[in-house]
Amino acid sequence: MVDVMCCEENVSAYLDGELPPEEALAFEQHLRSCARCRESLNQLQALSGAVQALPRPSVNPWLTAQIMDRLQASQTVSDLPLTRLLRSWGLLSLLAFGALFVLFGPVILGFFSVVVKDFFLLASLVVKISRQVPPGAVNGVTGLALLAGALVAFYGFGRIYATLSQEELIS
Amino acid sequence: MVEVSLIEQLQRGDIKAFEKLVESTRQRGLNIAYGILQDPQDAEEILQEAYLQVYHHIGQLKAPETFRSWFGKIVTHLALRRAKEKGRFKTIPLEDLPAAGCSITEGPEYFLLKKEKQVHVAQTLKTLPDEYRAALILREWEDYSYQEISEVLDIPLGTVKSRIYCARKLLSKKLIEGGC
Ligand SMILES: [Zn+2]
Repeated sequence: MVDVMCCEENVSAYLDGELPPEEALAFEQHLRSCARCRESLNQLQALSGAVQALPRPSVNPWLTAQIMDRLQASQTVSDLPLTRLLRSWGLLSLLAFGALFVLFGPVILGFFSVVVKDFFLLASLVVKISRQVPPGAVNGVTGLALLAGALVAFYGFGRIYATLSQEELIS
Repeated sequence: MVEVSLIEQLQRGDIKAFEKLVESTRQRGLNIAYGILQDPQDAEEILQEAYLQVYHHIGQLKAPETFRSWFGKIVTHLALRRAKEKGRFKTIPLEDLPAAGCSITEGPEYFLLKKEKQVHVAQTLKTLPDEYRAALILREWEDYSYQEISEVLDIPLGTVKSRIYCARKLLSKKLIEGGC
């Protein structure tokens, strides 16, 4: 007679002590009369013993020190007031970027597609114009401001990327 | 558990407590990572990464007494991700797994261990699908309960039961086929 008890999955769970108490009791009762399940249990037990006996590497004694070093290295950087400020800027620029995109998304995309498509045309135009601009204090300052603006925008994108990739960490 | 007080100290920002926590849990973490990756170097790298995550996310651990499964989850996920990236072992496609209910007909003498058999078991363990090996390793090496394994792997309790059974089944089948 094949009992409902004759289920190897249950034998495996019994071996792990994972059957509910009443089921375990019933299973033990069943074991007395079922040679097949006794055999399965023996085999699973032997296999389990074999896996448990497998060698494992032991921890490298410097592991803790290495972890502490990495931690302190990341902390000295992240605890500087400047980095904290910059990190909050990252979040701010993300918000600013989001707002800008919601408001002027199509315009921004259109602008970038023109920049990408006609890059050489645009670049030569910029060079031509800048050659025609007479050198002077006002023009110099404007040029520097534009350059600084471009750098800040570039940096902002970097911060946005960093913020986004940080969010991806394990929950 | 010793860890509970260490975790509470760590959550208050005590870095010494973190050091002690690493000391007391690192072998366990290494076993899990190594069990999944089967490469000591990779396992150690993953473990370092896992501890950095532990440090940075310890605030999210609401109940310190669940550290064991929380930590196991971090290590297991990182190790499984690394295993996937490397895809170095030829594993059995899931559909080829044996149906539950078929029985092992060969005798236990197949698993009696001598050194060379141990190597053979280790080699065969490598060929199990990563998720199956992970469940079995958590159970056999680190004595995780089915409940803990279900939390670590994000699968229902019933699936843990069948996955561990399938892992054993598959392992014994391959050991026998391997002619050992
Ligand atoms: Zn039976």
